[in-house]
Amino acid sequence: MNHENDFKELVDRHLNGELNEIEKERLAESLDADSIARREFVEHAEWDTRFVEAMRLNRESLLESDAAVARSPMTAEDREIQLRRSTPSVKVLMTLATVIIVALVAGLFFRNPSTAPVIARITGLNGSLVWIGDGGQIVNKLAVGTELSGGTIEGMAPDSWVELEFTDGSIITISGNSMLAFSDVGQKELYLKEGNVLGNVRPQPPGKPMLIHTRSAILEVLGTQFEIESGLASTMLHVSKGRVRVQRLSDGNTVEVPAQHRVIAAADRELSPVRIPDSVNHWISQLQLGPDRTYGEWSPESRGQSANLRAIPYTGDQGITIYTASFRVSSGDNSPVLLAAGSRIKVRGHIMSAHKVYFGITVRQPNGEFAGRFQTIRPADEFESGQDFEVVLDLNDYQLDPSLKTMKDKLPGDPFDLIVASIWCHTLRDQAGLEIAEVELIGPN
Amino acid sequence: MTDYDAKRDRVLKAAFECRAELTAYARSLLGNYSAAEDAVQDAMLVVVKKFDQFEEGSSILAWCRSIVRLEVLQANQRRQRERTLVDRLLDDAVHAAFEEHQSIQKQADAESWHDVLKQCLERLPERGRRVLKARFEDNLGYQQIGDHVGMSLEGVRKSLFRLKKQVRSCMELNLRSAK
Repeated sequence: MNHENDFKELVDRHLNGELNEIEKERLAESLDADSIARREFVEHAEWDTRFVEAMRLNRESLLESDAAVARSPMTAEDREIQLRRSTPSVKVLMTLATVIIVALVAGLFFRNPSTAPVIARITGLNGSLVWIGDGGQIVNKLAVGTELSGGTIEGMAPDSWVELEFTDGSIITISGNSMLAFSDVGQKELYLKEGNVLGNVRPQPPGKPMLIHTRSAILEVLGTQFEIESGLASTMLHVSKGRVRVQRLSDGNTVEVPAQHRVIAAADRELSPVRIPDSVNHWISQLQLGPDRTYGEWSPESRGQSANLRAIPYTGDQGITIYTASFRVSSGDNSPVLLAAGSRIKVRGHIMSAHKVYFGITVRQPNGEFAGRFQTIRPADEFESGQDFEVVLDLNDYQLDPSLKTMKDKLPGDPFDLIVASIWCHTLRDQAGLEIAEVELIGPN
Repeated sequence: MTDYDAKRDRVLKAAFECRAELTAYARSLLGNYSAAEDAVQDAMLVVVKKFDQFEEGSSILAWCRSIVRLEVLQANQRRQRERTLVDRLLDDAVHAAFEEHQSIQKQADAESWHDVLKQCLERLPERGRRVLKARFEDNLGYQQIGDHVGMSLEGVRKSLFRLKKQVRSCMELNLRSAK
């Protein structure tokens, strides 16, 4: 192979992330040494990226003119490939999501009010949310009853959630820092970039299941209740009712997940549904293992200090800043944590300046529906500036978060017999230097 | 329309027109097309928020590239990818290459580019088209394609490189003669 070809192949493999350390060093040296190599690199990167984009964006294949393929006997692999082709890959969706978002942003230039058909309406919401809709509107003043065309909705804070009802009565809820693009052009398609989605989906038209795309899987939903938690490299699916078909992107393997089962779709895990474990009444944070499923500034254990989570500021729609730290509880591989009557929560931490502290929990129904936030407040005189603290909180003292008062009639009056989604604490307006070392939910026994 | 709105429109329109170039730049830093798209998408949202910081008269592409580079850094942090010294040196070399040689392509020829691409793909042998289709439309890995068409993993990789090279040569020839 000549030098020119060798260089181009090196560039090509670099664009696909396939170089080892020695090859990377060789490429860096070539680029440093030679302006022509730099120009070729840029030209190759631009051409190849445009080529990949053209190939992926075209739902109607650029390569489908081959009647010979259609006439030839179809192997199992052919059928598999055709099946894959009938379901747009998540990468295509990622491209579309990018184009949708960028196109919507670009739509700012035209300022025409959206004429796109309404496909969903907001039936409940909380916290800071942004919707980027057709026509390019970026809207952060959403309300119950707001009608939406396709677009992207994003929860901007850990306490954000929004419930969308599609025109066929299917309900989708996102919570926390989640980002969901959605459309319905005869078939509902959702792209969950990150975060959590709960679904209560009405039976879908034959041959047109709801498709949910994540970074690691494609889910086909015919009509069911489920919860999805999408991370960078894995997708966790819990099915409460009905069945959901999951295709893992890394190898194309598929599995059907029945009711009361869950599965994790990840390249390094077995794709096998397991029964959702029985709920437990006890839970303890494990900050020493890392910051997974927390919100706050995590510090590892050092010099005799426990690992801890420092409250970080968050400014809500009302312009009020809270300093908050939170832990997701019933998520991932964990058993669902049920809040039994008589339970208590023990919190150990440190505070720099004595301040009133809000302790709360977010709960949901066993089928995944949001069931409210409950909180209790401890006065400043229970804390000492610059000192560690330990409080044991009686769940009987917890009251519904006042910001949910408009939904009071829809929500349970107390948090018992509900699943604990998260546990959080915050100070209001002032940075009190609140750090949490450990949270423990202690069951009645 | 206020000056503020007019500037926003100009900056966002210009930034949007650089999207393809920015994706190529991000991909050259991340080595992954999908991650590059994410980074550019996030960068576009930053542009929407910070358009008033752009100094008109300077290069919109360079300004957007600097935003993309920050997004790429954050993407690497989120993926918890440890960047070796060689990685960082290569990033700097890639960035310098784009600073020196990248300019905004004219979008007007997008349709003819697409038509020529289709023509050139049609000229490929059947097996080559199957390989490209499996890779880019069906998102199969090298091993899966190899199993499907009866080639080794390395054979698939080299075949893809040669096929793309063939398509690119064909397109350059056709686009030149069209002019």
